[in-house]
Amino acid sequence: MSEVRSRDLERAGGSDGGDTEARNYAILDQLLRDCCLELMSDYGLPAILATPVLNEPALDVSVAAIDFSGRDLRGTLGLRMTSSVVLETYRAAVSAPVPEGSPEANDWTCELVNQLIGRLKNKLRPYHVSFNVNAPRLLATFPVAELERALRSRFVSDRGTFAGYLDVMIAPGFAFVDSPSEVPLVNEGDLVLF
Amino acid sequence: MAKRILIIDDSASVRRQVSGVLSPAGFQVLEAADGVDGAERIRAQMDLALVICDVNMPRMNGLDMLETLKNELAQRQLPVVMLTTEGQPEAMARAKKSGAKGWIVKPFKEHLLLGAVQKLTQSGP
Repeated sequence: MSEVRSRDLERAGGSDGGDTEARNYAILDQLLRDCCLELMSDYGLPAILATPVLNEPALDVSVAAIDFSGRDLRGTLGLRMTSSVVLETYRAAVSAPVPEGSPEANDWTCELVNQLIGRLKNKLRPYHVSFNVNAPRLLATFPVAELERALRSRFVSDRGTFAGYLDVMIAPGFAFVDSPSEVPLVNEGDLVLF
Repeated sequence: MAKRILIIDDSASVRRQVSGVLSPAGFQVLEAADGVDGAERIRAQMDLALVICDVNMPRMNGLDMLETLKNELAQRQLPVVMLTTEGQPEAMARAKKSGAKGWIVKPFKEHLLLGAVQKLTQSGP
């Protein structure tokens, strides 16, 4: 049985399979939104969910992606930001400006998607889902065809817009547990001394 | 003489961020971009006071580097703090077993990072 891609909501057979798939994607969709909002908020950029825009102009945007693979989920997480968002979050993190399109700005774009996947991984922990993560990569062009089938959420802040994309393949038969466990987890920003 | 801190992270932005917190506090910050580079710097720089190390890096990740240098780090009493996006207990346990002294999940809070570094370097070089 083939894996089910994000938008390929093929019924596995009967209403149960469809309900499970819908629930799986609904959970992932919400987690993606939460991760995007929390990440940017931590860098001083509160935002609100906005209506997705078809054929959004590709000018002045930075896009990075990161691949992940695990027993239950695998795919690609993408983060697309207007340059203003990259510059603003960099300034918040490093307390210094950065030239648009510079190697430093590109590096920061990759670091942001790296932190985004880290948040997603942490949020999936209570569902007993884990995966390995590859190195982030900057995308020269926006992969419209690839990311069109992805779960996506677009946000607007007073400094620009950003969008998260999750192109995920779910293992056949996988279903998120009904009640996420309370697992010990160190949260973003926390420090533990052993 | 300023205490020397080595930050190992494949992101130049993170290295700059850490340096931006520690340098004004009087530390001298050295940099490495992955576990291989980091291991070489640790072996070459015998007067390090502390190492801050990412986990997911190319060539050699931070946990593998830590395990590779476990005995040397213990002998030198060189503290290592992991700085990473991960909050998974298993990874933390592995780091602790290999001798790490702390774990910080990105994005870090500046006062926590600085406080940890100051505390862990109190009795060191």
